Amino acid sequence: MSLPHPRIVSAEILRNDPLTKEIREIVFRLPSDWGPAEPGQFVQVECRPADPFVLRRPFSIARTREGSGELRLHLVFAPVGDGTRALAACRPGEHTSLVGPLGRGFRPIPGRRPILVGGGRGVAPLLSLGDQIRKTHPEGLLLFGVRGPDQLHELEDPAYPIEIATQDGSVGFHGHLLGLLDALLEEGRIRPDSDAIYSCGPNPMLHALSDWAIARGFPAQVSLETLFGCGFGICAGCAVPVKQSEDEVGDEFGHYRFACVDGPVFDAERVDWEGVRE
Amino acid sequence: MSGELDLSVRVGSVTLPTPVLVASGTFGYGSESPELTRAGELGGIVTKTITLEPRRGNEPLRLHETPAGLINSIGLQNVGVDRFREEKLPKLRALGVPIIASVGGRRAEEFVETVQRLEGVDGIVAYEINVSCPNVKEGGIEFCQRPESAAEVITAVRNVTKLPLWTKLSPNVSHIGVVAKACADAGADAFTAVNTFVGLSVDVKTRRSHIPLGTGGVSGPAIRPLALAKVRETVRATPLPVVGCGGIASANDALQFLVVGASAVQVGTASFRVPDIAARIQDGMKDFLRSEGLTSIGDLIGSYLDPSGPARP
Ligand SMILES: Cc1cc2nc3c(=O)[nH]c(=O)nc-3n(C[C@H](O)[C@H](O)[C@H](O)COP(=O)(O)OP(=O)(O)OC[C@H]3O[C@@H](n4cnc5c(N)ncnc54)[C@H](O)[C@@H]3O)c2cc1C
Ligand SMILES: Cc1cc2nc3c(=O)[nH]c(=O)nc-3n(C[C@H](O)[C@H](O)[C@H](O)COP(=O)(O)O)c2cc1C
Ligand code: FES
Repeated sequence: MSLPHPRIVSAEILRNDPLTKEIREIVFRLPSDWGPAEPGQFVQVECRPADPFVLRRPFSIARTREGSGELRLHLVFAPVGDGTRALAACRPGEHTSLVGPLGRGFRPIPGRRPILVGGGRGVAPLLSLGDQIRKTHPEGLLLFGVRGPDQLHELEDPAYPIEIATQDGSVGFHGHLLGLLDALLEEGRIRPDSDAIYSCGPNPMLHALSDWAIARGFPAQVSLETLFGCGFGICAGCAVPVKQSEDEVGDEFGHYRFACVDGPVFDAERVDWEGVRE
Repeated sequence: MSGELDLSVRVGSVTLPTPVLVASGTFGYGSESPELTRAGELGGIVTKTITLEPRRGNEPLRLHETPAGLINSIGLQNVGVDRFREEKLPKLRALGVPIIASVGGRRAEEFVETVQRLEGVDGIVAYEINVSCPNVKEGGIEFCQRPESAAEVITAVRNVTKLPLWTKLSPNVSHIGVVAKACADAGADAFTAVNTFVGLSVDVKTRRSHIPLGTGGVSGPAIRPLALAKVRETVRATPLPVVGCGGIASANDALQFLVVGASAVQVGTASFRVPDIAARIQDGMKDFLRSEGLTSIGDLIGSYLDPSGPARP
């Protein structure tokens, strides 16, 4: 079966509920033959179908669940601006248009124990990554860092044991994710020679995490956010600066890659963080 | 029955299967996700603007959404003519759609050399000469702002190719017709009108532009009526065919351009939201022809009734 992939679908909203004061989960009904999506891929959502908005908004696929001839697509999102607030106002039963699955997701490294590191709503794609690799990588850890209770929510059926870091110290480790990583490294619970880091979160966090991982010899992949025009490689709007290796002289786009087709997941050491907007 | 409907149009000597093309820089190199965009069904694909050397483009952020529109500052990021010809063109050609190669440059000689490197390549039916990019320091909009320098580029390129030259005009001039006339005299075969409008959007907290370089080019539905008026002006200025562009997002939008005299249209920003919008616009045109009892899209082209003239019978 070779289906057109990605595609444009009209999807019914089945649920759209707050998980915390700041974070929501929205669930769409999709045809059962949609995808399959790889972890770290995203969808482009028409947040306000009736408005002459010109752009969709990108959201990482948090989870897909199959059953009774349909597929349920879960997104975890924060209403931060006009588009996401409009999405928050959509009701179950309404339809909206999705394009996807899009982009290049995580590429799990065989034989290395996954350490999933999610900052805030960045935990979303790590849930589908866990779902997908729990069989091949039965051991792992999921680190979930938030500012405080307003972002902290239950993670249903997580693939790995969870370690929480809160900046206000209300739950779990008191501090940033990097502090938690330091502590775990100190205790010998994570190891650069046997583990690999997969992360998503705000760009400043990903920058700090990349520096941390590279300095300690952990392979790391990060899912970056930037502004998207199209989400499928036709507008050149989502440029991410990357470091160029010697053998890449005259490479495709000089030093920019497109977050929507070459990413959103990049090897941490490839990203030229100086040029990334944070 | 759709079999009886004729959507084909002529832009000068070029016959296109439909009047709906996709605009330069808004459809990549044309072969990205063709099943998503239905690229193989289109009337034509205008490539991203190609330059002699690869260009890395402007620093991020390159886009900012505005009411019913978008400001962009891409800066002509492209792989350069050699890699375009070797790597991108074969995939594009495989779609079997007429290809219009958009060419840019800082000076007339760069346009000439880029075109020379594309000469004799199968599948290219015309060149679109981009003398109107608002987002590069050199070799953009200023060509159009001095009609004689736009004309100089056209004259130079005219000497090295027999393929039709479509001149892409900037709307950021007082009299687009004057620029069109100068280019027509220099040997242009057609016009694409228009490129983006110069625009600015400011973050009041940081007091800075939303785009690092300051101004950018505005596109999308917001510019459609402005673009339509520029197209009308261009149509009246010379007898050469005009390809209309600017804010087209529906069949109705596209038909307005044909009615005022455009021989074909280009769809740009609308593809970002609806990847196959250009193909859908074609479908919508057929519906319109049926509803009007017409069989050929050509019957609509230039059917505009002047405000001072009599009403439609
Ligand atoms: C690949 C990818 C996956 C994403 N996955 C998720 C997800 O799973 N859940 C989720 O909640 N969000 C996710 N986002 C971010 C989400 O797309 C943006 O929050 C959304 O586009 C904002 O739209 P808006 O209209 O609400 O805000 P706007 O009105 O467009 O912007 C509100 C503010 O947020 C800033 N902003 C907007 N988009 C971004 C961005 N991408 N990065 C940094 N700042 C931004 C704007 O500059 C502005 O200050 C993802 C983004 C990308 C690129
Ligand atoms: C992101 C983006 C990139 C563009 N790049 C080019 C380009 O490389 N060359 C060019 O001639 N026009 C370029 N344009 C202008 C479009 O081809 C078109 O003239 C303009 O966007 C108006 O049409 P629209 O409103 O349908 O988008 C670009 C427009 C956008 C939005
Ligand atoms: S968002 Fe358009 S190319 Fe990536």
